[in-house]
Amino acid sequence: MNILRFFPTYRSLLVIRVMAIKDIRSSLTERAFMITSVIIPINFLLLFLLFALTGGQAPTAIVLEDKGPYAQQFLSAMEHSHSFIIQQTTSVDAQNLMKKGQVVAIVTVPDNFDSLLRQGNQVQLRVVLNNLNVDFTNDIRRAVPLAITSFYANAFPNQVVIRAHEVDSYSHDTGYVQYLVVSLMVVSVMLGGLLQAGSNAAREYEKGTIKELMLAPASIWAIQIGKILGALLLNSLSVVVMIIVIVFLIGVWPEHWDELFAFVLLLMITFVALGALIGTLIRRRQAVIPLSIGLSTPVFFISGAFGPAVWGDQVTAAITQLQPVYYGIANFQHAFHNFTTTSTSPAIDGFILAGFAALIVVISALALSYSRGRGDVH
Amino acid sequence: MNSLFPILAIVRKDISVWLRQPTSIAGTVLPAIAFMVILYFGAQAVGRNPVALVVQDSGPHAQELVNILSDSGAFKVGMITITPQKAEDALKQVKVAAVITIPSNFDAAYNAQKPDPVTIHINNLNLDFTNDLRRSLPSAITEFYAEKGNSSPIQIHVKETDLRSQDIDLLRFELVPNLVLLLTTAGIVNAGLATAREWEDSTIKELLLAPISKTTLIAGKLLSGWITTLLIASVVLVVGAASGYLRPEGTIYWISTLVIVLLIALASAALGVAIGAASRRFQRVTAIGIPLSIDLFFLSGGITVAAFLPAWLQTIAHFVPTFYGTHALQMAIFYGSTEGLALDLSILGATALVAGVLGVLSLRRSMIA
Repeated sequence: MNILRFFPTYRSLLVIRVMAIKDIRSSLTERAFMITSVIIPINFLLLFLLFALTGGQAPTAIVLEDKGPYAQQFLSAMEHSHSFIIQQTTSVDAQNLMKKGQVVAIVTVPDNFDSLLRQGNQVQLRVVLNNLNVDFTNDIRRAVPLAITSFYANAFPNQVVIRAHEVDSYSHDTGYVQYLVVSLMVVSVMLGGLLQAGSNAAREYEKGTIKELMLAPASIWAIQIGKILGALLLNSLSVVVMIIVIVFLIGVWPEHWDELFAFVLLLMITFVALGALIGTLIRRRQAVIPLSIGLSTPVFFISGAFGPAVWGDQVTAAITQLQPVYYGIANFQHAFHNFTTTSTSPAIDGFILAGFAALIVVISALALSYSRGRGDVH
Repeated sequence: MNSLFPILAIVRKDISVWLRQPTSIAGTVLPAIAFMVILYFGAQAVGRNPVALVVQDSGPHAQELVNILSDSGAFKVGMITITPQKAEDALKQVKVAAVITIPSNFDAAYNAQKPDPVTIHINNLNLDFTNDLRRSLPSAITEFYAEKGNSSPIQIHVKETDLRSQDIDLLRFELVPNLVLLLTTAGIVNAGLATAREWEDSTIKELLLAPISKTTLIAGKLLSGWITTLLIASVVLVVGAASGYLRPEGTIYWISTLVIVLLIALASAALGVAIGAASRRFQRVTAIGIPLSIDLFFLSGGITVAAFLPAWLQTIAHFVPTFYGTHALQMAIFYGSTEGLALDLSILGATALVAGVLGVLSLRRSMIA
């Protein structure tokens, strides 16, 4: 005891250790929640990947009534237009596919396609659209003329002379899934952190054990840091599973492992501290799950998950730079793909993220300290 | 008649408790609100990447292409310059997604009918918007030729036939899956919490000792879950109809919409009772109920159109009851169509029946235990 009196730092470390162990043990007794808190972030990651699987290309049936060389060239132009998933089929089968909802458009190349083009006459291309919503219907409406022009540029190069010549910044294209999964990892880390730490903090109020913590002769900072550490260790379970899924199952290999581990740790600290803050404020575990999901999802969408946020709406882009997910996504894209997605460098993004982590840890400790100051523990 | 009063008493009690629990109500509507926010931002951002234009030719054809690119729905032209370096710097600093360069000999090459390339330098971070950009410049070139009218060399013309009488805008289209998400979350979470509460607060003892049958108790629980879900649904439907966003055209489609909503609400509430009785804990109900509702939402098409999903995922979607609920509501509300209605209603009816049986069995088992 005397040692503890003379070495306050040692005493605080002891409190941190004890708090972390207590929270881990408490969580392990609630196995059902423990399992769901690991599963929910991974579930979230996999579900949102479904969104990427749609790929934005319209499933389209093409009926070639003419098999001539121009008709074949037109088919090739459609296949290379980055707009369609083509199924070449008969008219009857195309109608059936449309009825079953397996295609959203039928393009029919008429039987006199080649001969009319050779004679320089007009050709009517029949396009049937299942115009369910204006977004993808307009994509098809734009894509068919585009395929026609591409066809002309190849088949009649002397008539259609303007062409697009593409130069890419990166030597290879990165698939949408490979890009999105990295952004999704950030929101999954966020969700896992909020759930774990939020529940741990709220549990103290629900079970009334917060009174004992508040009355204990220990620093509030040590108590809160201990709680954050406990949640951090528990949260690392779901993060490890996520990394395994992304790297070994989906096959996205990080370019910079060191950056990945550093930024994962920073993000975990940030969101675990935020979870502790939310749990301290709302004090009910029942509300932690919907609030965590309700908060993570929109924040993720405005933070540049699908591409640099600054390319979107300017107001949203300005707002999103005030929160950590934006920098988390930028840092993760750099760690995994060596991409730069913000105007600032990855190092600056890292420092800003570290600043957010420190700030939220401080605010969460202050919130707990405020509770003690008011004697407000119910 | 003897059973009716206790049933109504249970319903009244559950609804009163529910109304005094703002966190439960917030928890019910929060996922749906979150997805609406997402869809709003998603709809704003669809395919409008910022580009820089480097215009090195001041000829009329070059200017025509510049005007088309500037007015294009596919681009946001953030910069027009004659200095390539300025545009390349903007690309490097991630201020624009691509740089399009119209060369100094553009008009001369066009007039001479010689190859006339327009360069697009793309920051190809991912295939989604890279493909958008790849489509966008050829699309502008297509428009350039289309504006030539009869003098255009392109002789292929599109004759479009639409299956539906109207195109529905993306945000409105996604309101329906969101309504289904709201119904499933509300049913599962509210009915689940109302059931689990009896064990958490130990009031189940009083209910079991009361001079009422177990059937009455089960009926009361199912009915209260159903009614709370319908209360939320009615608010959404009234607001949707008043604003015109969710207004079925004609009595028959109003009836089919209401029947579909009633069935989804019943199935969700019964599932909620089953989960609540099996788990007997608030936290478990929300931990299972909310992710389950979101899973059902995504697997039934959710924020996309089912036809765009890969074939294996479409097959899975056909085993998800909310897929049929979403389809039936979209047909009734947007297109005034009964396409597939019989199948949709039978599957929803069967789901409500199976969920009801599950709810009864789970509650009975927990009461005996």
